[in-house]
Amino acid sequence: MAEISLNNINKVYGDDFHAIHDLSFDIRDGEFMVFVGPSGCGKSTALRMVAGLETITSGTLTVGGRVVNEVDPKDRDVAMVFQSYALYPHKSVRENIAFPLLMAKVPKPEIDRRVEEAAEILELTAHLDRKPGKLSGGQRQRVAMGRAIVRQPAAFLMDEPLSNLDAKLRVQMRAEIASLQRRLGVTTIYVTHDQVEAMTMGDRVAVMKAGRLQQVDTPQALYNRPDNVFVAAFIGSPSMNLYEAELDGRTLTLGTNSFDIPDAVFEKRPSLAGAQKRPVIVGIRPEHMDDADVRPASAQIRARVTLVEALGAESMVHLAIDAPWVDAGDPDAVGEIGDGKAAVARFSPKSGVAAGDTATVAIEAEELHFFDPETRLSIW
Amino acid sequence: MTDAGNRDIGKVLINAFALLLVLSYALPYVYLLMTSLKPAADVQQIPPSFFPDRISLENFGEVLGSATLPSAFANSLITAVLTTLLSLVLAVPAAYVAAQYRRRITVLFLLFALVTRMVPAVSLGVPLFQLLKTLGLLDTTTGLVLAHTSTAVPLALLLMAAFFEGVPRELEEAARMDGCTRFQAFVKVVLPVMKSGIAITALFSFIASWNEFLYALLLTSENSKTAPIVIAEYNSVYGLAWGPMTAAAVLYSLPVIIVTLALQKQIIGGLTFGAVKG
Amino acid sequence: MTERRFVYLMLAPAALFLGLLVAYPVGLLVFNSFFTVETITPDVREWVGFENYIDALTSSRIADSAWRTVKYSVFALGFELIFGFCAALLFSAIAEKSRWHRTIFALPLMVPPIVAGLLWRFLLVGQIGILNYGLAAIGLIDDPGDIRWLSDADIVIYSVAFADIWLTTSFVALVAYAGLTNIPRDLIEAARVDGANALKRFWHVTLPLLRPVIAVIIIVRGVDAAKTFDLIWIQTQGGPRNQSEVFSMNIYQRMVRFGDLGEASASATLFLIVMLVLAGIAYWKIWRPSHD
Repeated sequence: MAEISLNNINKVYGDDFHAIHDLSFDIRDGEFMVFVGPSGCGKSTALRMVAGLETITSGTLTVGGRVVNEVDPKDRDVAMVFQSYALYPHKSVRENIAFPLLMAKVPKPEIDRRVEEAAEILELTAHLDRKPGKLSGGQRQRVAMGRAIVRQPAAFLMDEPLSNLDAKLRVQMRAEIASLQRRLGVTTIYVTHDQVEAMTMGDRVAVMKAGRLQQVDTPQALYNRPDNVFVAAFIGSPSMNLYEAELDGRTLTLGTNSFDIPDAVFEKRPSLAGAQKRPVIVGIRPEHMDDADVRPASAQIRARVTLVEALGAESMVHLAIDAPWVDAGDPDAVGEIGDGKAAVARFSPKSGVAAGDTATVAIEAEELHFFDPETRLSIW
Repeated sequence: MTDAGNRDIGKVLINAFALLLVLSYALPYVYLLMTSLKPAADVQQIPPSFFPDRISLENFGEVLGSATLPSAFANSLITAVLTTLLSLVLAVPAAYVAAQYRRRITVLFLLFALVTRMVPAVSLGVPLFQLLKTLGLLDTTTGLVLAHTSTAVPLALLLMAAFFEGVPRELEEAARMDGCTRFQAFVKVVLPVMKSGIAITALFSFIASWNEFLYALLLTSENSKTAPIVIAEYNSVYGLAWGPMTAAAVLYSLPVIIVTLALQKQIIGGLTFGAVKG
Repeated sequence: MTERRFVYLMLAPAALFLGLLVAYPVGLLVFNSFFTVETITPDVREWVGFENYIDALTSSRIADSAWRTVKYSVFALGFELIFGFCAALLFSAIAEKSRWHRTIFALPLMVPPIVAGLLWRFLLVGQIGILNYGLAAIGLIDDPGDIRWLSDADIVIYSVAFADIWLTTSFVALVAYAGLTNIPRDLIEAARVDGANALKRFWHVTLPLLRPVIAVIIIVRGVDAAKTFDLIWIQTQGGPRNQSEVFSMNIYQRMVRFGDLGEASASATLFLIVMLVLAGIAYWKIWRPSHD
């Protein structure tokens, strides 16, 4: 068991493709760290550098206090679970799980004992003598896990291990992996593009974009105090609604709507105080909006309803807001409905609004987020 | 009768016609078999008959009893086996990195192998003759194996590279994470997965050497003559000895054909693999 | 071990071998072509510059053998393509039921060229060639002696190609069949829905999609046909009156029978250059466009 620390890690491919920029953070002993970000953000590259499958262009990587930049993967004492599982098709489940121990020249009886033990934990005992080709997706995933845990390595590295499973199984395995990790207490780096996985599994989450670290923090802190527009939009589902607005004194002007910002916001974000016609990016989470008739709040606006998606426990209400929409820069984000620039609000199912109505929308103004339009950083 | 019934009969007729067509394609080889089973005197009768009047193993007896052909078969077999082994040892590791590690050098290497396939044997045969003469390897099995391997290696390289392209890179990476060096990962994990591809490549290398004629003609004379050379010599040495010649040709070609039929699915796959992947 | 060192180490044995037994001989070939040098005494050499090339390019026997190689290759390749594609279309028309057909059809593929040559010589040769008796029996010719396939100087270069056509139509058919089965059914069906008849579907959908396959066949088979030696050698040894002597045979004859290593090398070098250029053109013209 060990802590892993990245210091100014860079990865440059060829002459000009700078995949990772100055990545620095520490992963504590026993911690479950999730790397999350849209495709091409460098999260897998970062993981593969920790594994030793990619060379490190510059910077230092230490595992358990030892600099491992030039150490072969086999000598790093880390185990990896691949997206495709990469099981050895010609070996049985037993041989697959035993393989790392065999390579480590562990005595035969000890191998047998540890393979049985791992199989027990992962409920694979009945399948030990089958070939991977005969297993279901979920079972293959478990074999891949078994191959990692049987070694009792200093760290687990997992590269999108659940993305080949169907949605239901994914939710189940998510919980199993998280609880297994807590039980074993082994430092873990987990790469995913799915922010729900990141939020539910990680002790801490590192959000990356275009090869740069955006923010590392606990899931709740990322949600409550995103450092910048990208993190704000990436964490949370549906995404935070972001619009250009203007703050003058305590009055926020959002398109044709204006309302006053409560004191709580200025206490939390002192540098907003005394703004004079200051342009800002305002962020409103869907869950902080509702039908003003059902659940009134500190501020309200009028907006036309373009679509209502009734989900039973709640309704996703798409609102046309007449302020300039802000692109958070997530390459994977697609316009879900229409031009994708509609605001999404999480309305109570009691609301009776329908597409085409102009609704009065209540906003919990205490929960608004503010960002600088130039730097795109949070204004605190 | 219904339309569907008509169509069924039409289908059966098309199938039967196609089979007839295909069978007639095999006719020349069947005629070779039939001729080899005729008594030597009947082989050159005028007019010729397709089927033997009497079945006789006289021709087979003559070629197998001769001094030259059995030893030529032994030479062919030894040459082909050694060529196969050497080609695999050389080509398989190179094909692996060529397929799995895209670098300028590996791309160039595959291109070189492809170009080598275009080189006319006779262009290479001339200087090979000179090279083997310098090395004192003319008319030796070793010399012929080297020559055959020079054509078998590019073939094996391209074939194996196509097979290795189907292997996910993560297999090697997983093995390395599990404690292997790159080379151990290749030997312990990748090669066992590739068993059938290697078998097909081995068969192709074997056949390439077994069937080869020009190098054998150029580079051997007495000691290491292979079967095709001896068969061709029935032309001159014995005048036109068609009887023994057909028997020798059957003995020489039948084993390969039988193996091919047994493994036809894999072989046809291997043969059309590179071409269709395009 | 770094990736770079691993790649080099894995490539090294094959690279060294090919360097010694392909690249070095090719170098030697080009080197020899600038000398007057005898096959039996390759150490005695005299520099003659491009003289061997000038001799080769002005020799009518060499020019004839080159022209014959072209005739032979075009004739063989043309019929292989026609027969092969017809067979492939037939197989795909009867679809899964074509397994046996394809098995029998694949048979000649594994017949050693030397045996195919012998066999066809036996089918065509003078008095005992059974082909003419067959043709006479079905009334195509009056007398079995009417066509002297292998001894008529005017037709011999085409006669010797029969063996090649028989031997490798299988290859074309199987590759084309594999190519046909790789075409998604949706595309053909979409064309059918769009109102294209069978001929139009073949012309506008099937054929363009088979382009890379056809390219590979033409390159691989064209190069092979132009290189042919054993198949013709066993049938005629180049006769009668050198009328079936193709280029590779001409090179062989000049080296082995006339012992002129220098001139043989010059011709062989020219042969090599032409083959590479042709293969290169075929590759760029036919194959590349479908990749862009």
